[in-house]
Amino acid sequence: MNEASEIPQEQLDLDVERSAEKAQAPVAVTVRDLNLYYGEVQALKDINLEIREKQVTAFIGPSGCGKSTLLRCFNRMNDLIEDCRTEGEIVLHGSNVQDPGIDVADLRRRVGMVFQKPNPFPKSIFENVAYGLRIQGINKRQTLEDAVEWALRGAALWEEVENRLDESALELSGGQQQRLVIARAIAVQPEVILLDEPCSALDPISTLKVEELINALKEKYTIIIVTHNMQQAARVSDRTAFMYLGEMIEYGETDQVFTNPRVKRTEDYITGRYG
Amino acid sequence: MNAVTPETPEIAIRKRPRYQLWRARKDSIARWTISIGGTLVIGAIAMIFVYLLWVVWPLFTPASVESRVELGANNETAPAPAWLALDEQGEVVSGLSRTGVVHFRSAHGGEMISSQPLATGELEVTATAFEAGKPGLVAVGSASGAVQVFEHQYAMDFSTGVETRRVVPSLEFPYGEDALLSLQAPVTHLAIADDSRALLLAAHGADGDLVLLRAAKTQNLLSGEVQIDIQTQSQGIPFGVTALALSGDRRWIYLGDASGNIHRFSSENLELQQTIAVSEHAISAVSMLLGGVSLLVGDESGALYQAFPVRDDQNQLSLQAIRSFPALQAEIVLIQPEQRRKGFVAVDSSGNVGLYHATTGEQVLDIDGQGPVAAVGLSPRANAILLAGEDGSIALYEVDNPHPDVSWATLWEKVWYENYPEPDYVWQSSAANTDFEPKFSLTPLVFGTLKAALYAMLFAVPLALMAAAYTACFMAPAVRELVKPIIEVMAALPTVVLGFLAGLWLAPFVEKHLAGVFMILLVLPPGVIAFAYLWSRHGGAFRKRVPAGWAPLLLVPVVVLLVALAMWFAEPVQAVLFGGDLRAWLTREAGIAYDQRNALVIGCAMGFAVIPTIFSIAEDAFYGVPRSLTMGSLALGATPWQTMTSVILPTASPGIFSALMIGLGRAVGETMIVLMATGNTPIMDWNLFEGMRTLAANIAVEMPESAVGSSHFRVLFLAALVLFLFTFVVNTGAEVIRQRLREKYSSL
Repeated sequence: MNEASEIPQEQLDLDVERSAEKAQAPVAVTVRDLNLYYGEVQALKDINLEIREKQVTAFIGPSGCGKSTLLRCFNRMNDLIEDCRTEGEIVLHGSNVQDPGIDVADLRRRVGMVFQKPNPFPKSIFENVAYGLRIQGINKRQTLEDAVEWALRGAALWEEVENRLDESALELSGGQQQRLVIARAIAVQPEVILLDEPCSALDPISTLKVEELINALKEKYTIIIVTHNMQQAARVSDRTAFMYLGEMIEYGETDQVFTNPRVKRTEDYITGRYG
Repeated sequence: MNAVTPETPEIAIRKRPRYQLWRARKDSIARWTISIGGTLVIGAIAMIFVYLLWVVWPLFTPASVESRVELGANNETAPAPAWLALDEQGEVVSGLSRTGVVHFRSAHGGEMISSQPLATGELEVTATAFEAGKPGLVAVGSASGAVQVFEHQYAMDFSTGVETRRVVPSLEFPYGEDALLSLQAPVTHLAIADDSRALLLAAHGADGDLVLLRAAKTQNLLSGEVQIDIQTQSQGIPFGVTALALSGDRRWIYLGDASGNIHRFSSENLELQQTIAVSEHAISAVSMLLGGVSLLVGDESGALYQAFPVRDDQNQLSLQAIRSFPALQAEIVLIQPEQRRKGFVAVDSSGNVGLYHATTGEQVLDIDGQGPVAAVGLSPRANAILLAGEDGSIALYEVDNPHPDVSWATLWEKVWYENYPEPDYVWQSSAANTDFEPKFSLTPLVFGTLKAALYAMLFAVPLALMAAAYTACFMAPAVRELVKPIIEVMAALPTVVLGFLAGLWLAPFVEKHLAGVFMILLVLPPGVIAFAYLWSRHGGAFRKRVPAGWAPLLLVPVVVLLVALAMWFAEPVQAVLFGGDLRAWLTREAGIAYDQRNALVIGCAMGFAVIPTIFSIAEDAFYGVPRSLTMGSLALGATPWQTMTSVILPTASPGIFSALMIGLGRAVGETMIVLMATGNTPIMDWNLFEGMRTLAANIAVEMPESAVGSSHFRVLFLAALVLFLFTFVVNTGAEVIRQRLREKYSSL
């Protein structure tokens, strides 16, 4: 049975139009022949990938497939792991991220990251959001206040914390903390935001809010999200990459990957034959 | 073989009541054991505190009169005695009647034991005198102008058994029974000073003449026979003398006059040396305090003063009024010093009796003499006072006054001690002679404790904290696993070994190579940083050969080399800049005193002892900062250093604070190292090159030599209490602050 036949023609046209638009979006990050080793173990094998600007790209795959490892390559967080070695290149807006001479701190400012578990600093809500700016040497109160408000509004948290900016961030709920961390990440105006299973520690309502936020954020940012939750990937992403045992099995438009996977293994995973 | 479907195994989980009972019992036993253990610990600490307080408490309890016994009149014909005394055991009351008869009576019932006249003829006693340090020797002046000296002695008679031993009093005349001196007029004032070399007697007659007798004693070395050579001098005194005293060293004669002045005469030539105004009223009584240095002055209005000679800028001694005591209500008629302490009794004309202590400047006891007092006798142990009324009735007061020499002011404030040029904080608990003034100021000890702790912390804190931060946050895990236990093992080093090394190896080494030591301090930090910089920038191919994370070990030879270089360079640098010897230069040019055992040595040695404590706790704190925070900070574009200062440091701050406080507590309470390497000099000086004495070391040094129950003993316990309270307050404060910080940084 052809699913497409059930969809009205206008809708199909619109989708085609949108896919065309999506396909035309400029490339933000290009990954070429990326290999990564933990000691003797190869964790990523010949990854080739183009991530488009102002789209949400989801990495899915079973545990240990290397999707988080790949995500950490974009802001060189893998440097912090002992015995980790990479080959190949990742080009972000024309510069190679893997170049040893690159300013890693500046790279990480350009490529923000949100982790699985909310990790607000033991400081006030205000100082958490302002942290990224302070380390860039921005200490003017007015500038910071404007930026904090802008970032908190951007992370859809402003209304909730407007009156308690000086309270400890640790007093927020898990979902609020995760949005705070996203606000902290966007406060430094990155080019790319990496989300490493951002909802895995959250309840369904908070998850919904974060997903709405991701949808809103892609207007401005290129987003790469790693998720275990396939519905989430289907809901929020424009493109999906399926990884398995360190290899990129399939990468394409989310609709296509979920409805019409080209590779058998993708289909098996999506339909829950292994996980 | 048939395939068997696994069945639910027969485990009677719910059918083991015995086990469940045992389990519950074990749980409750554990709970009780832990509660009891905890309570016992708290109880033990509370008991220590209570015990210390219990020992210290008598220092601050006021003196009191325990009992009063009427002994009845001394003599029917001449009721009021001229002089009174009590023997060592407090069993015999000796009294000299106005008619010149010495009566010995029992102190228990007042029965007469014996009596003996001083002279064969009639005698009218007008003046008596004795010396605080030698109360057995009494000078008696009479209306006829004769001055006699007698000695009252007490022998033990065990002939009827130990239980019924008797005290047998007797009179001796070491300078002969005849009058030593004869004045032209009745003797009005008398003073005596005696030691093994000479006797000095000063007598003032009603005609205004001052007569001085000096009996020099020369002992024949072969026969042991003492030959006495007597000289007398006489001089008219142009003013009305109202009081007379002789300094214990026999150099000065002090005369009081009716306008409140004290005149100091030389005993060599009877020349006036100095006149000072002590009071605005007529001087009515003077007496030397025990030791013969301080002059106690009482005036007509009841005011009491202490004066003693102080060295001035020209190194000349001059009498100076030091302090005044709480006044009595009427004219002071009698001042009598205690025989073993710096205390004294003063009596006014209306019969008020005050017990004082000179060092504290306080009145410790107030006794109502019940009418005018004619004579006062103090027992040698100062635990009993005899008061004789004008009607001849004698009352014996048992006094409980064990610690008049310690007060809040003497412990913590500046006190002007005898022979000191100015008020000062002094700790000197004992001396070679028995009549010295004990100086119990805890201030220099507290100062020394803080000084030692400060220099130790100055040395230890930067090293320990930086080492902890590096080990926890930057060091390769394999190296960390090696380094951390090694530093912690340093804590197991007995402090007596550290103290020994510090006192007997480090102190002489630093003294000999002072310039080298400073050179090391100057050269080492920049040298290490320069090496690290070169390594990270220009290490090149060599870097690849060193296994990742092990590069810091390369610093070991670098440090050794730098130390060697610094030591080697120190000689020429010292030769050029400091005339060849930095130590001598410091003393000569900068005027900085140098002790071999000084704060620099202590800083290094005690710092060494404190480092493992601070390091270990701080390292745990740094290491305990969640990795997610570090990652979060780094992922925002912070450099490792920014992450360290703005995320790791604040988050680890409760632990770091604990580490510092526990380190401080250790440094304050540390005993062995400071005992062996500070020189134990209780001076107050921040000078890096001078020693100190700490509370803990002081207790260790002096406790074995202090008499149980003495003021000294109790003050040492007070020092322990202060130490205990200090660590208690610091630790409690630290814990409170740590809890606050932890609350702030909790739920991570």
